[in-house]
Parts: sequence; C-alpha cells; structure tokens
Amino acid sequence: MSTPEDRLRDILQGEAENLVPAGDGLWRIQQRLAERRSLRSRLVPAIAIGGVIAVAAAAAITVSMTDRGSLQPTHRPPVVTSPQPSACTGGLCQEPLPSPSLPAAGVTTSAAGLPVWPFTNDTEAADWEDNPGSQAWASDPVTVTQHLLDDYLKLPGQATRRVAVLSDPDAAIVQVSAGGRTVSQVRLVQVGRDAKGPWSVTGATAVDLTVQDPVDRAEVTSPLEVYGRVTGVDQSVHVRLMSGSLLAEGFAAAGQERPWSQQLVWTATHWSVGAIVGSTFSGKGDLSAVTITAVRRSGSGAPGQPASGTAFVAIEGGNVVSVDALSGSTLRQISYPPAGATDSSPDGGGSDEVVWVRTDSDNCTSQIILATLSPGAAGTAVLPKPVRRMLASLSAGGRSLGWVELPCTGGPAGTLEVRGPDGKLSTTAATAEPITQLDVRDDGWAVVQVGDKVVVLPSGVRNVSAGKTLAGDPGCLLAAPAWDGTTVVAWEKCGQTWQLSRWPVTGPRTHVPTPTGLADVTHTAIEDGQLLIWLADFRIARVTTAGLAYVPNAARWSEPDW
Amino acid sequence: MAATDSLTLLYSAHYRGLVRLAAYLTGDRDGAEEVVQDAYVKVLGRWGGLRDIDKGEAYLRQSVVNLSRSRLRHRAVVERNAPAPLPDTASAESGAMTQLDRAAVVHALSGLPRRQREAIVLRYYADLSEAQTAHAMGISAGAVKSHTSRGMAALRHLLEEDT
Repeated sequence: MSTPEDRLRDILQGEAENLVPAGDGLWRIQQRLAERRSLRSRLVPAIAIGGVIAVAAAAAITVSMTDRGSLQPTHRPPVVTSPQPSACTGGLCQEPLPSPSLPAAGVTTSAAGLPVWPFTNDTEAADWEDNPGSQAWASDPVTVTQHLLDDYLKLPGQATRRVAVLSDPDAAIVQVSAGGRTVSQVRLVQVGRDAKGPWSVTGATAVDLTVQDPVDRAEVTSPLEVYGRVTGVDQSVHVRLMSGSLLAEGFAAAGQERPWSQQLVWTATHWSVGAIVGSTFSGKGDLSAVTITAVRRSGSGAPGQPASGTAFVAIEGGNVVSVDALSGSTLRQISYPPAGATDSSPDGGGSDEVVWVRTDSDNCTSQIILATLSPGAAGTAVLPKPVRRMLASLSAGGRSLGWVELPCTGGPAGTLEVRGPDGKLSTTAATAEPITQLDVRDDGWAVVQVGDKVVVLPSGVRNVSAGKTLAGDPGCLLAAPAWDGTTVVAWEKCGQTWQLSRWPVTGPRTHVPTPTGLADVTHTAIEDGQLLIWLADFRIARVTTAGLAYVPNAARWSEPDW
Repeated sequence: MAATDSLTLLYSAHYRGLVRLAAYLTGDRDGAEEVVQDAYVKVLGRWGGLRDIDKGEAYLRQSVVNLSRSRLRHRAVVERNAPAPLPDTASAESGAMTQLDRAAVVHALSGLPRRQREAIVLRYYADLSEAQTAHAMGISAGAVKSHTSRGMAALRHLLEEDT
C-alpha cells in the first residue's frame, strides 16, 4: 500500500510529464550569454578610461541587465519562406518547383553536430535503413556508443545509460563509465531520411580531459597541433585522428592543469570528415577520460559542398546526386522527381549549377531542370514538351544550354538544340544519326559524338552534317569529346589502345600521355582542366598526371559529370 | 571544459526538469522557461565560467528557486486560488486516482505557502534529499523537515475538503 508521500511523488512527477519546453531554450540562453559577453568586452575599455565614466557605464549596463526587455534577442532563428517565381532571364526561366527543400548537409539530421561515426553521409544512412545487416545495433544510441568503444576506438569502457532527455528528439547523450566512474559523455544524433534512421556519434566530452583546439567542426590541415588540458597528475594523453581508420596518432605528456599539445601528421586525402580522439588511463589501467572532436579536412569542403574538382554529379537510384570523387560517397541528393518521373543526363556548369532532364511518367514528355548545388529552389530551364530529351549540357560559365530532342515515336533522327548566351535558340541542327555525346561552350558552339566521329558545330548551323568532323590518327575512332575552354578534348581508340588528344582552335592536334590498359571511354567531363571519365565497365576515374584515380564504389552511379 | 560544452551538457541533462520545477514553484507555466533561462545565464555567465560542472545542477536548481521567489514577489496579485499550472489532461500513470483527484492535488499544492510549496516540490517532484533541499532553499535541514511536514498536513486537509 503506497504512502501519501509516494502518491504525491507519483502525481507531481506524472503531471510534470505533460509540460514540454518550447524547444528553443538553448538558443535563447546562448543568445543571452553572447550578448552578455559582448557587453562585457565593451565595458572593460570603458572602465580603463576613468573612474567616473566607468562607474556610470557600469551602472548603465547594470540597469540594462536587470531590464530583460532590452536584452531580449532582437531576432529569431531565420524562417525559410517559399521562393517566389522570377521572370525568365537570359532564356532561362527559374520558377519554384513543388519539391521538398534540398538538404544542405552530407547527413540529414535536424540536430546540431557533425556525424563522424558510424555514418557520415545520407547514402550510408539510407543503406542502413534499407538493410541494417550486421549493424542493427545502430538503431539505439547506447549500443552505438558501446560499439564505438569496442569496435572503433578499442577502449575498455562501458556505455551505461542515456543520460539526457533532450528537447531535440534527434539528439542524445550517452554516459560512458569505466572503473566505476563516469569517463565521458558521448553525443549522438539521429541521421537519415526519417525517424527510423540510425544514430551517429558527433562528439564526446569528459571532465578530466579537454581538447581546446581544434574546436568542434574545425577545418584541419596537416600538420595539426592539438591542444588541451587534463585535471589529473602526470597524464599521458593518447591523441588520434580517425576517419574510418587511424590516420595519425601521438602521445602527449600532460599534468594537472597544465596544457598539453601533440602534433598530428597525415598524408591521406581520401577523407572529408574525421574525429580527433583523446583518451587517458589511470595508473591501474582503467580508462579515465575520452573526448571526441569532429573535424573536417581542409580542402575537402563542407559536407554537401566539396572543393572544386573533387565532386561530380551523377544518377543514383533515379535521382541526381552529388558525389565526393575522393571518398566515393554520395554527398547529397539534388533532385526529387515526382512519382513516376525519371531524372537523367545531369551536367554541371556555371559556378555551382546543374541541369538534368526530367521525363514524365508517360516516358515521353520531358523538361530540363536547372538548380544550384547550394540549397535553393530548382527552376525549369526548358519547358515540358512531348519529346524525348537527353544529353543536357550546361556550358562552363553557365551561359549556354544544349540538349538533344528525339520524337517519342522513336527513330534515330532528331535535333540538337542549343540556347546561346543571348537567351535565344542559337542552334537547331537536324541529325539523321544518333548523337551519343554533347558538350556546349559559353558562346553556343557545340561538340558532339555521332557514331565514331566527333563533330564541332558552330552556333547557328542547321544540320549536324554541316559541322567540322575532327580527324584523328589513321584508322582510329574518336569518342567522348568535351570542351576544355575552346579546345576540344577527345579520346582516340586505335586498335585496343586509347589515347587522349587535344584539338585547339589554332595549331595542330596534340596527344596527352595516357595510362595504358584503359577500358572503353564512354564520357568525358572537364572542369578547370580536370578530367573525369566514365568507362564502359562502369568505373569512374579522374585523369591525373600521376595516372587514373578511380572513384570508389563507382558502380552505384551512372552518367557522371562535373 | 569549454563553455559551450558546459552549457550543452547542463541544458541537455537538466533543462526540462528545471522548467517543470519552476512551473510548480511559481504556479506559472508560461513564465517557467524564462525563469530557468535566467538561471542558466546567471550560473554560466559568471566571470570565469562554471568551474565545476558536477555542481552545475545544484547551482542551477538553487538559482531557479531564488528566481522563482523573485517572480512571485513581483506579481501584482498572488492568486492563491488560481487554476493548477499544469494541463488538465491526466498523465499516463493515473493509477488508482482519477483525473479530478490529480488535478485537485496540484491545485492544492499551488495554494500552499511559498516555503511549504518549495519544500514539497523539491522533496517529492525533484526527489531531493533533505540536505539537498535545504541547500536549494538556503535554510537548515530542520527547517526543511518542518515545512515539508506542514505542507503534507495542509495537502491532506485540503484534499479531504475537496473530496
């Protein structure tokens, strides 16, 4: 039989569950603390000036601090409004499409933090949702934390419990204990496309060990000086940089309240998101502290917006996506076709634009969409029409757009369309043979592959056959052309050997040293002089001076382009 | 520990509970968040920051109690018969008590003298010991015992009258 005290306790705690804070409390506190620090920084010089003035200033500030209204935040978190239709300019019409907002980060999560393990991007999280496999433990933040300790960090800790009931349902804090004491609090966020997504670690803090630099989500380069503090005596801090695997490590001597530092050096460039892990042990060998600080490799770009020459667009699962060419991971989904529609032929151009063809469920009516890689609305660049469109091509400066149109009834005959820099259609060239590759220049000139030939088409031609067919070595076939400025770059297949050739506006054709043993090249993309090729065996590679750099996991993407 | 880590940790671990505590202490659900945010700013906005994160909860709770008192003092009218600060909907664990009974208890709590209400809420909602309650209220453990005893007696009496 319960006592009156027990009943009262049950009532008070039960009724309290119905009161849920608004959710913006942390933001409000942060704003007020920031304003307080800002006021202090202005007050200190005033105090240094002179007694009377300083006292008056302090009094004024004091009055302000007690008048909460004057220190209320003057703005609220930004509200995203629907984009408004804009007029057509330069021949390109940008109107908002009824599509959901494009995610800005490499991982979709509403909570703060940069996920570092075990999921760092949407593709990994989506793969998990489709088939957790041996990672079913990722559905719970406590088990993720235990696997973090056991499998990733190889530290003898115990993930004991989820300590925090957070106002943000997508975030959690899990306590880690060792030797009977709390050694760390691990922060996790739920990632992925919906509430069934897995959990991923964003960081960890400890009382006895801190990493003060780099700060959370900092961009880092090698060599890196890691600084921090400990509270124990004569500690040795194990400092590691990890991204899937160990990239660098060192041991820093540290003591009570004395700062420690450790330099980390690495050469690997395949990673974009990693973690600085600090750990200490007691004299008995028990884990005494663990910290994790999320970092990004400088030059790899923020998730979703990698550095130039390292990301390309492609088709994955019927959607246009951006891909990190270095790590072979999907950075973010760009297109969201409505049910029944399919997206194809993505092409990057301009400063950060991408175009693609969207075909309706009738498998005929098509339009060309233009979007920016930074989050924003997509627009219709070429209005829907009952024709099959393909090979969308946006010039390097974004000033010209080309594509091929074919009748829905089928057949090889079609037209090449180029909308030039003045916004008007500058080229409508008929073709009796199928065009299999297309690239356009800012001035409206186009280069196409027709059969085994590469043809250059000035702006305004009426028939593809009227263009200039490029000549290669005798007996060699030409394929996969692309513009590099005003120079045509294409591949010559001579027997079983492929070689890269350049046709400048003036001067002779030149050959570029090419790695041997290349499979058939089906597509070439060039950005800022960097080549990306798609091979007949579905591999994707960057052509570098050191040879071919294959993109990992390439089989999941098709139609790659910069 | 970096200031932002202290705030995030303390917010994550204690904010919701402290808001509920403030709601009980002030009888003002809407103002409870403001009281708690004031407490966080006071505790974490000190010169030098919060040196001992383990004591952060205790500092925050004490600050919430003090700020709740200030809020009550500044009210134009203390509504001793005001409706219960928490929603009327019954919690999931209603147990043997009806919704009306639970609301009556909360209603009765709001009618207690301030120190009795503080002692009751800190002891039976926040589940603090007498020593912890004493620290939060800034009084002796003996005084906590006295206020708690009188509060419980008043609640039983009011409940008997209501039912």
